[in-house]
Amino acid sequence: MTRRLAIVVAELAARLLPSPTRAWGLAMTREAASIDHAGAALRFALGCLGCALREAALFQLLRPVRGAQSSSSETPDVIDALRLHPRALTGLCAVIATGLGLAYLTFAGAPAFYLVGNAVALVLGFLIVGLLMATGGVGERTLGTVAVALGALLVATALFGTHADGATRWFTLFGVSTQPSLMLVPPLVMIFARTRGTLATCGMALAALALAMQPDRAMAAALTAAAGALALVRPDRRTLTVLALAVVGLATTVLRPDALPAVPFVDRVFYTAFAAHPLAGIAVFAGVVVMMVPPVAGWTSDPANRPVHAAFGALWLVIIAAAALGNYPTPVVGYGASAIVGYVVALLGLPRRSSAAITRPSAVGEKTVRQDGDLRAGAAVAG
Amino acid sequence: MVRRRSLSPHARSVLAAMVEAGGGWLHGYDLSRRAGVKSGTLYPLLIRLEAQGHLEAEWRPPTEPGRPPRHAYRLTAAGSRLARENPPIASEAPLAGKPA
Repeated sequence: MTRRLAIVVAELAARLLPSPTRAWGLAMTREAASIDHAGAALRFALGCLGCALREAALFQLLRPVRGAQSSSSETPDVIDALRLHPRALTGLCAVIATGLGLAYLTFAGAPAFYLVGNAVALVLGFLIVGLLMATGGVGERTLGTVAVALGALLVATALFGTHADGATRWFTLFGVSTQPSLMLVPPLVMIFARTRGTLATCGMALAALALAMQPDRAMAAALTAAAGALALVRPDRRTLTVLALAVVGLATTVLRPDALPAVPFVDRVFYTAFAAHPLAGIAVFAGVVVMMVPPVAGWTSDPANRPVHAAFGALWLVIIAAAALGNYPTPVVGYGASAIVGYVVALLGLPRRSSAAITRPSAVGEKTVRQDGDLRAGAAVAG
Repeated sequence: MVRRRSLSPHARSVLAAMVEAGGGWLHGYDLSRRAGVKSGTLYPLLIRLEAQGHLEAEWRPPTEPGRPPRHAYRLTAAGSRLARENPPIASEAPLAGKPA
């Protein structure tokens, strides 16, 4: 088992190495396979993985310097391929950030069921993604209906959810307390960012109303930020309407008292993680940085789909900022299943392939690449 | 003009371990043990030494049947010169047998 793991890790290292040094990956794999002691082989392979990650990062950092020296026939590397596949990149970042969150919870001494809860949420998120993708493409009207349903669920949470310290933003399901806004707002924003339909606009309006009712200052700010980012990149009547409603909703939450105490391992994590353990602090900060990699990569390498990347990035950036500034959940890396599910499911709103893949077909090893990022023509979010 | 930089203690240890091998071929794991450096440190050094012409690398047939060929390394003349000019720092001397 350990030996097999060592070989898998070494093979992963070989795949991560950038093209100019990829031949060394086979050397690493063969070397790891030849070590008699399984534990030593695994340690050797893990070292190789660290080496490959550094080489890959260095290769990407020096890419602008190499500039025109790069040959168009250069073999693509894994990082390049991920950059051109926003959904895959976001899925990978969700796994890494959740893993770093588990590391934080471990180092900080959180109860074991917190770790299980976050891990289960990650699996659940991918199950939902898999199920939605298996249903095939759905039209803009269906997506709009889903957006309205999501908005209505948020309103239902405000009306019938669990009440605590003047706020009603939770829902208890099978004995587990969830925060629906963290699960539902991200996919709702992505549907609106991609369709801009009337129904999706109604869904966003319901969300703004619900967040004002709950009240949830952090998510209201995140909704406003996403709408603001969309308005900057793609100003149109519906986006500006949603932005105006989101601003009113946010103002309402600011005027209402919000005195919830911090919950250990959920809130104030940025402040407490380093005190718990230096590695816990590093894991938390690394996790939130990883969460922001997909929107940054999407913005830079997928110009045709900048609105969705901007909305995704603004939304999660403000959720993270709110966690740093107040007693609001630290998404994905802190204890809490809702944000993990929300982050993973929201990836369906991102294009499967970036627009840059169209002009660089060889970069992903395909003869032709079809852009599927545009829902305006009625393509599917889950397609 | 080639810019000369002081070599890191790990690079010096790797060079010294290869000199100690007497010009023979060394495999990665063996070299990491002789030099007392982990694989994550060793391979970037090997990659750069090979690119700069200080190191030869080639696939060597297995010593035991049923095993795949392995990459092996030895210093070139330029590499030997570099090793002589950059002996290991006293406290960073190679630790033969230290697990990688």
